[in-house]
Amino acid sequence: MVNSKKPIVEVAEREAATKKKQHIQKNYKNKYYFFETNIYKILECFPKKLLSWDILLVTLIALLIRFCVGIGAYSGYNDPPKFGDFEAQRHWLELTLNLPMKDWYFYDPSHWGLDYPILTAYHSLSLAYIGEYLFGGKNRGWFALDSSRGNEDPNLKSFMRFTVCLTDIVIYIPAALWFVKKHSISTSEKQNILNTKAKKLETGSLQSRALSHLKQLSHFSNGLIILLQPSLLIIDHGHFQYNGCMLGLVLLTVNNIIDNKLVSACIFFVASLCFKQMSLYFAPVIFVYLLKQTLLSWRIIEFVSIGVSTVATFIVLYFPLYFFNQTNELGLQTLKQSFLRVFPFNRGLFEGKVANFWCVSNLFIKHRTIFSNEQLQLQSLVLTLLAASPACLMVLIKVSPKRYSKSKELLLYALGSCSLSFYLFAFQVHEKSILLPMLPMTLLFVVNNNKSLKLDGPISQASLLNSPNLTYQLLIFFENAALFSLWPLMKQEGLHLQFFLLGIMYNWLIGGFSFFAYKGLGKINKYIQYVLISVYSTMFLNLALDLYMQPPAILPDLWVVLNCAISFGCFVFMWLWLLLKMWYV
Amino acid sequence: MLICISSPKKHTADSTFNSEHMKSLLCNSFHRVRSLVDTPLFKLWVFSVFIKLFLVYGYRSTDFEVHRNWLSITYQLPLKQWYYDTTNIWTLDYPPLFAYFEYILSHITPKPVINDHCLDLMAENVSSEIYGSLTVFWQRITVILSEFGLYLSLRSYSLTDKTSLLVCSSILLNPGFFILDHIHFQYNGFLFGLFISSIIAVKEEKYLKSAFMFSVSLCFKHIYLYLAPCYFVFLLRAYCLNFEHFEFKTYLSLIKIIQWKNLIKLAAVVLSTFFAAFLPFIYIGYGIDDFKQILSRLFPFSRGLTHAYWAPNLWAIYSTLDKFLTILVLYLNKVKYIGAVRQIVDISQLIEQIKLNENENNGSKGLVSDVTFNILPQIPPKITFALTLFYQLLAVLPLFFNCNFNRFIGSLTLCGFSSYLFGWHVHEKAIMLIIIPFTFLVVLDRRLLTPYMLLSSSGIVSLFPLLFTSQDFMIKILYSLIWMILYFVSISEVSEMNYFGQDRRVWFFDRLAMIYIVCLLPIIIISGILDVFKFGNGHYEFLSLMLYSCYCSVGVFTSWIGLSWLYNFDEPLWL
Repeated sequence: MVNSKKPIVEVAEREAATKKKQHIQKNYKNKYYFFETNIYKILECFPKKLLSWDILLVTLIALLIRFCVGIGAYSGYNDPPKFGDFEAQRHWLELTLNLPMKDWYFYDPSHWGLDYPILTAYHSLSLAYIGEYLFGGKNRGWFALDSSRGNEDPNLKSFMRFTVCLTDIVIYIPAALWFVKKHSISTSEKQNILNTKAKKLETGSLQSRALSHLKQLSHFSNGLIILLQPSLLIIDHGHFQYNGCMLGLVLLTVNNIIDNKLVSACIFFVASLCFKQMSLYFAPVIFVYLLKQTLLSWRIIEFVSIGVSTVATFIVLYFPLYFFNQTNELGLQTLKQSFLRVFPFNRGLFEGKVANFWCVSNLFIKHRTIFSNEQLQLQSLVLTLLAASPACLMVLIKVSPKRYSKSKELLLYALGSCSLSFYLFAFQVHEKSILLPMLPMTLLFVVNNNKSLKLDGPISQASLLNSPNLTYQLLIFFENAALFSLWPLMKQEGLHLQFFLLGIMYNWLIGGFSFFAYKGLGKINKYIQYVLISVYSTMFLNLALDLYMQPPAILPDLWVVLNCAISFGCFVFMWLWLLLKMWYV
Repeated sequence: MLICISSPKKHTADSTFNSEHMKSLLCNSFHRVRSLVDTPLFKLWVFSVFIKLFLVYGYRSTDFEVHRNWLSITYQLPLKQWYYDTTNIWTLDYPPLFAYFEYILSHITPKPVINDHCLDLMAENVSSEIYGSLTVFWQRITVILSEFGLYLSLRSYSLTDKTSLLVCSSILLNPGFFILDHIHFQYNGFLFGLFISSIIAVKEEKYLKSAFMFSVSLCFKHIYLYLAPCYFVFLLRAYCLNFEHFEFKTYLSLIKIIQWKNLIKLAAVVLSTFFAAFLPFIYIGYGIDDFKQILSRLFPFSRGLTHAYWAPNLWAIYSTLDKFLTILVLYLNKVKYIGAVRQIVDISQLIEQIKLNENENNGSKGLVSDVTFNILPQIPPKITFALTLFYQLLAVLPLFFNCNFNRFIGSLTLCGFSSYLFGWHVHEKAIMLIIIPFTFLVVLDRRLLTPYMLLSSSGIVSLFPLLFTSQDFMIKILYSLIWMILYFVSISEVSEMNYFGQDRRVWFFDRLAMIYIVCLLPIIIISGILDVFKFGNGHYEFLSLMLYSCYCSVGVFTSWIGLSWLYNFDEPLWL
């Protein structure tokens, strides 16, 4: 062998170095819980070389799970005449394919009229082309106008599932992986370089080499943590929607902000707004952040450029809708109609059962009988803005171009807090809207895991709030609460198996339910663990009751209402936690 | 370099076992179960189980109904009628131990599942409408739980070092099992567990245990007969013959080679296992005719040369050649003006033959029946047996002269190869009989990696046509792709570059093999497109299947040649 020929001294040195490396790694591993999770144990089985394939592998695994979830039923399966969200999306494919653009927003509102912004329509059109000509949809009548309504061809289902994954692969997955890679570099690596300069060069480089392996591992698992987020998977690939596209565009916005490319951030954010108006939930914080970074920091040129790019993107996206009409008046009418469809204020305060303020307080105060719809709209607007204002204020005060890494971390907290306020207090909220606050929350996993891999030794566990272990655990708790709040919907659609599997798999992978394995913090930690255990057990109790017991005849919705109440409590806690975190950033 | 890691979990479990002996038995057994389960291999398995559970209500083939019917046969009927019942066309055609296994499963079936008509004996066309989702769930769960047997057989081996962990996990997560067991529906995982434990027993030099496990697995599924010659020779040579003090004086000294005690022990173990397997049948008074009935069920010789979908072996290429010649002849017949050809061969007779054959059967999509070739000579079973035996003999002979574990695994793999490539009515599922032993071999030397990659990629892809529904299309591709990247990369990192291997490797062959493997993807996509568009109103339905079996057979053949070359002409590998 080649190695044996080299001098013995060198070999001994090398061995000493590897030992030291392992010692450093051990130091970190003992401190942080997330090195004891199953996903790490699994990754350790394989040689290091595999970690250089991480992007491909994570993408493929994420896709595999997505397709596996897709085997289940979808919203409105076998439920004529209106079916569900699957039929809505399929109908939009049919509609955009067969009608001229000017009729898109006018066509038959009784059967899932198009009520999403223009980019959704373009997206549907492109998917329709793919289905019609690439997958033989033409011969099978998948998208024939009107006659294809309620088509439940299993091949059509496979195709539609495929399109969700295709959208994910184009937008959400690259954006998420970009975030994982980018963020780790921008926060920890830059500090590392500074630290190595300050310290002795050799020990520093040894330490960074020891950490680089751990970092690679954490990239891998961070990627999976983001991409296997159960609530998004079950809504997009079980229930059937294209939220991944909107969230991916928001994620791209965040990525660009982290890179300090504000113009492209604006373009992506407008795109996400034009895909689904729901990303308005993020708008206040993004607006304030950009304002602070540009105008309030006296960067007038940047401010003008982002303003121009925002307006330009809107114009470019909506221009065809205006242009393909005979007269100008008709064009304006079409534009007006498209906006009317997108913001349906004549609907109720909330639909079904949502774990937000209105639905839960409705148990005690019957809002809808006391107030008129307009009054309620005003109330919800005021409450939402009130709840979102702390996040905006924090951004306004604390963000500055000088403190990059801090202000970027703050941005995530603020995005979470703001969108959560919308979820809790806004008008006409769906249970699916919880996906929006969960996006920044999931990204916080990455921030947290990277924080723990700092070069200047593991963080001391003294401060309760900054303990990576506790943060990690609470983040998992919020993920679980979000998933739990989706249970009534999933039960209704017969996605029991997928719901439980996704939840259990996610928690098993990242160590969700192992309570006392978390190290440090002493007594307080113990109390927190007891609180978490009790909350989890009420959740499980609620699920078990819902599965195996009929609610009393007087209160047919008892279990669902309980579900809403529990999740509402969790979300309020999440909002408070985010506030605290923002305060201490 | 191998990084030897001892099993820390096991030790800690043992130490707690000693120090806390005052604690109750419950606690001890908890620790034991924990040490049984607390391995990296188990974690990998659990992750795969999650994925498998998603597919519970996905596509399942007729094999699901086959096994459901066996459950009901063993539940409803007395032992006497198990091998006689024909209520359902999917009659019991596995050896008795598997029937007992089904018997146990049927008797632990929970009440709600029985109420779901899981165990009703009924005709095949009725049943699918009668049983519900509970039956499906129960049967799927039994497959997943029985796969725990595969884990158990691999567990101790996986703890020895990182390389063997890699080998074990690659077997446990093999896409072949994923496709065959958890989508298509069979119990291969558990059956291979038995077979693998016999291989591992050989490694540990526990020959009697190995013989026992192999005969048990034979009594579960007779497909392992393909590998029996290798076992026979190996056990004979390693356990019953001793050449150490051999000195030829007279012919009597030949007798001294034989270690009579071991021979008797071995024979006793094997025979008593078979005897025990058939004992219940003997007990209820089965006669010779009844055993003949069992044998006729196990070995249905009335089947044709190839399966409905051609497994990628020699006969697939042969059949394809015949198809092409047929098309050529029909074309020549159309083109009247090629007089010269007409003078050389008299086509008219051939064409009459073709038309006659086409009325009778259709080689590619026909049911299980005899296959006739239009132009090439017919293949009688004798030829396939002769070819198989010849190549198995070639594989087994070196084992007689040079008997060690590596050699044994090599010859096992080659035995599997020759029966797969030349056998009569080979199922595509039999590819697992080659892939699994080969996995034990591949970490030995880097040069084995290329044949291994060729074999496992083409073998796994050749299983794809089993799953033809659109919802499985991406799942099978993605799972296989992930597995291939995981293990091809890891094994190439771990497997040792022995004996200046780089110089002796034929680099061009390596590159060519990689190109072949990458080109599997376009093949899958092209055949997918063929399926989507159904050119000529489904007249060319066989085309995509033919594409699969032809392309894959190239890979399997090349892999066989590569391994044979190393096996026969590379001595340092087998020391």
